[in-house]
Amino acid sequence: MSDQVELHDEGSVRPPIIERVVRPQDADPKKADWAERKIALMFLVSAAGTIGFIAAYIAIPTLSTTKDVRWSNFWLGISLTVSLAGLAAGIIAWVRWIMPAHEVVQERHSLAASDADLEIASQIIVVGVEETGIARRSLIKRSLGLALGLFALPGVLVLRDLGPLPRTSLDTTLWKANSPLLNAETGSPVKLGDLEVGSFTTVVPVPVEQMSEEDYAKTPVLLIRLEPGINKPAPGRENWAYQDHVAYSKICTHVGCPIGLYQKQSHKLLCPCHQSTFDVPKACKVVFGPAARALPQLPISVNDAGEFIATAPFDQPVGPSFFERS
Amino acid sequence: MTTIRPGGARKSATTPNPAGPKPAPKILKKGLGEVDERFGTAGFLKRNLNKVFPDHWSFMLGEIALYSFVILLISGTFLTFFFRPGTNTVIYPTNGNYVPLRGLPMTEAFESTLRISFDVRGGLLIRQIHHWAALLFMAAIVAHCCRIFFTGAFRKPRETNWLIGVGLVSLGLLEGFAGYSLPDDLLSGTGLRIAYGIIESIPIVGTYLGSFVFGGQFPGPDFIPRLFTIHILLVPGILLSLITAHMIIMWHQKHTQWPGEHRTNDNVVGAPFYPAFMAKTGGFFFATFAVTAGLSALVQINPVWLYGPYNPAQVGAGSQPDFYIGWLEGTLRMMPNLETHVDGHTISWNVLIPAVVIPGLLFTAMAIYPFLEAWVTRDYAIHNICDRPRNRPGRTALGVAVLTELGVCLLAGGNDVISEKYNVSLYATTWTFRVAFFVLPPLAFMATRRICLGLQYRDAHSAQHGYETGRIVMLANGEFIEVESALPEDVVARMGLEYRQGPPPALEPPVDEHGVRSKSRHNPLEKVRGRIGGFLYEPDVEPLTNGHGDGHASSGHADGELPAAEQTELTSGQGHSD
Amino acid sequence: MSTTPEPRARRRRRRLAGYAVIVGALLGVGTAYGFVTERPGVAEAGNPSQEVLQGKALYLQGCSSCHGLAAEGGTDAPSLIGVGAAAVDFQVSTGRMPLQATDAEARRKPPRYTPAETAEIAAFVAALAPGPSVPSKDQYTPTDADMALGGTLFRTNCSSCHNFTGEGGALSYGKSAPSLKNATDQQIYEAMLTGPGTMPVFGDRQLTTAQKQDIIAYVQGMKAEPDPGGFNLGRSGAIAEGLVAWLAGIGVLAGVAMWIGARARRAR
Repeated sequence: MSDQVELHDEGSVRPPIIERVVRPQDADPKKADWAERKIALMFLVSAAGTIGFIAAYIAIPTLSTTKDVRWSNFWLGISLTVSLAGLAAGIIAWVRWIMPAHEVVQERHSLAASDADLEIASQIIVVGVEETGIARRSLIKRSLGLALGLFALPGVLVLRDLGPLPRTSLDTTLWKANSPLLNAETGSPVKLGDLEVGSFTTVVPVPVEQMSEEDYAKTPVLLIRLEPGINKPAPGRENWAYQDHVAYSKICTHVGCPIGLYQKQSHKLLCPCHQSTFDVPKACKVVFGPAARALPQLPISVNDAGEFIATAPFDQPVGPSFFERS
Repeated sequence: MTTIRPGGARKSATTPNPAGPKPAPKILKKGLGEVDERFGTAGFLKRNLNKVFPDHWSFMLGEIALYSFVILLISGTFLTFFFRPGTNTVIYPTNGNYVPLRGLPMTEAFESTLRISFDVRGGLLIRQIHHWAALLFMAAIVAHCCRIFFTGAFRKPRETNWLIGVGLVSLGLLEGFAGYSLPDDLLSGTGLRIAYGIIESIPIVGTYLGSFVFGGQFPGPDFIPRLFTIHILLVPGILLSLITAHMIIMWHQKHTQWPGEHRTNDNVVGAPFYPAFMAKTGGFFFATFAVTAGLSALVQINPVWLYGPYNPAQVGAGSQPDFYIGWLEGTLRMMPNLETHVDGHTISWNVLIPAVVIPGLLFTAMAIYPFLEAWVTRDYAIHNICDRPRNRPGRTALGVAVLTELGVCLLAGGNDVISEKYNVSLYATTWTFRVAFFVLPPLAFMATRRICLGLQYRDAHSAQHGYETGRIVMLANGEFIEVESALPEDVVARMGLEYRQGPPPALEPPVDEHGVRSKSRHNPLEKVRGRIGGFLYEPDVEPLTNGHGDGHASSGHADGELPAAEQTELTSGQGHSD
Repeated sequence: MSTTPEPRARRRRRRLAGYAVIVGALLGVGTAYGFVTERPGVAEAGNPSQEVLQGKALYLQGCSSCHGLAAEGGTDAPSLIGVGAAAVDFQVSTGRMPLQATDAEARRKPPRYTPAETAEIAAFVAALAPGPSVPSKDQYTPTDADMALGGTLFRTNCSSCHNFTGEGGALSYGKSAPSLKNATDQQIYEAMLTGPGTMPVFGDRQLTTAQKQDIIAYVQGMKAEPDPGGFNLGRSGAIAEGLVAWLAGIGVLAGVAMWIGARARRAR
């Protein structure tokens, strides 16, 4: 066989060979047979894997414990892997060892059509435009433009009921004057003395089951008991705390993660999402991280029964900032 | 000796039959004829079965993405038979298989995910296959995109395919985010809350957009069902059509190839599509599936039962999104807390810049890059040969700088995990990444360019002088030289020396020989073009030619003049080297 | 010194005698010493004042250099007056105290004192002023506990510092919330009760004993819970998963691609 490059034109059965590659198994039929056996072995291993999968599936009629699930996941997965890997290895080996490895060549014809074709195509387009008469008939052009342009509007309009207009919904929460501070877990009111110094708990104004999910996403409040004398209320907020207990919104003002991370010794709240840090004794002002606003404070007091209540709603929207927020 | 007789004639199957190909069996011709009469298939097959595909491993990265997508479709369809995208509250049965959640209220979406994982045989395996395939899909897209970028395969005529690719990567990101948010667990629910917060921060329309997308305030009763539709219908449909277009364009334009012997800009050298390439790619599909299945059998992924059902008042430390969103998490964490209050309104730069502006810039820059590069280099020719990254120092350095930036953002997204695992102060990590964000990419740019130029120099040197054989010869005058043997032709061809970047096209002189002011030199846009070109594309070293003219102070001989004795040695060396 | 060499037997006896005297003297002095000094660490049950005294001795020896001679605290250490026996038991039984170095926070390490000694120091501190006492076995052992409810409580109160299943998390200023993998039922109870370090306090009026037991049942149960999906990568989340996808996934597949595209071996 000659090693020369044979350039055939189209119509030849196979692409012309540009480099003839003779591998050991191409020259020696015994090696080729040996390669075939190896490939067959790979396919047999794959078949064994498939049978293993079926066996593992049937072996457990129903799953009942996590251990079952772990066993099942492992054996189903491993057998599936073996059956796929066997196929993969066998097919790839088949290509590499048995199929010809000659390098063949194909000419790239210019993607562009001939200049004549380009001219004809352009002409067709131009003549067609003339046939529509749109160039002369500006009335058609303008009214069509109006009709089609308007068409975009219904498409957008039907999306209007995807959701309500935000209006003032973002500005308020369920907290109002005399709302009780209820333990979010149990629903029972938090009493003065329930919290030790250095404790904090999550409270809501209404039992969680009675709130909509959307209200629940905004209302959680952290009630924190600071050490005596640590709290430095902002001007005008002197009576918003009660005997070293302070209440702040739990929803971070950055992008809305709940902040459960109270560090007792440094009196800092740390949001675990993006590490915004709020200084609790200083009205939760931001001391680190991407949050730009202090946490809104809820003014609290204690009623005659010794239970904590809110004395007023939040004085600002809770949660992340938005454009309409001043 | 075995009872299984290996097939066929004693002659090896790979030597062609000297008598010419056998005539096709009648039944094949009849079958093909029937189809051909209806569709013209024979012509199609004749033209396309012989299509040549070049044979380099880096060309298969896109296939990993393609086959991962197929695996996602198959496994995803299975999951849709069991998953219920409901936000209504159900109670996990008190005799449920997963003990730590028994009796707890949760959404139907979460409960059905638990059922798939713990009650359906093979359900957990297929769920894990789906999630691992999603990670592989995104990782392969990134790897493939890098390959296209660094080899310049986005140049004419392939700019459209590049744009489709940018569309695919952004849609893939959205699809993955939607997918892992469907189970409504505590981890992904936190991510959805962050997404709502980001949308809210958009000026003027943010609150409206948030309300319309989610169906009201967060979380919104319709959001999981909407995500479901987006995830199983809308985006896969768009992805499927874009991927099909991507493949058809690639098929029609033929694949690019590396420089090498016999390879030119006007041909493709490699293996024929049928049967070799089909088999290779088919085998690779099984390999991709095997790797995905292997990971799913051995390594747990997205264990939503550990996170628990979503509750807006709960969160876990070390919450991480999947890696392809992780870089956005990092930008959010690094950003300082800038906000402006103007006329009763708030503009939250602290959220807008990291979550809207930066990704917007990145994807826009990616989309316009082919056109920008063509404009700057004034190169509007058709390119079918891949660039070796070292031969384009400007582009390679730019790409490495962008990847470095993305890497910084990705690591910053996990700064709390890094802080906890390696006992590093949390705030120190934030500050380190803030500084690295500005400092590392320029350093990476400069270092990469230097490395590329160095590699180019070494190539040119080897091409001119050959490789060092290790044989030391003493010349008649007592000088010792090391004999260098010329590199084989195909190795030199693979260096692609003729495809190096070279200096940018020379600018017109400000005033031509007749004293006329050059329009282009005084056009501000042209000035920008020149500046960018100079910054990116002007090498610091003199343009490297094919070997002659570089200073070799140490080698001791001028170009082309070699002592006679060395010449002899070289000649005999040549004879021995292949 | 005799002029004639001694017979061998006599030489041996003299040598041995010397050793016998030394050993005998050592034994004698040691025994006498043993009788003279007090025996530390053996608290007599039902004799609290004895326990307190022994605890005070241990305190003065190992703790007072930072916490002050009267446990009033110092620049590096807080006052122990009123912290209660539970806090001491927690800190000492987890080995956090005595501190090895004035690091940002105390970390768990092998305890330096035996349980009996720990009890004595705790008794001493408890005697200074009333504080939370060491919980009884009934209190901290989960009985009829609701692991699922414990999980909800954990996720509301604990997971934002300690992570979803107690793997631990980063805090400000170089501190961290530790992993709970080595914590015993008693230690978890005591930690909630006393709020060690920067951890907040969860008193019994805030989280009742039953609720604390639920949380303990959850934490310990999650440790024992097998991972059905395979190797759990430290339950650390998506970062590790992404790393595995790139290294194992893309890595292996790139390797397969290299095999597919590798140059064929030529026959010689």
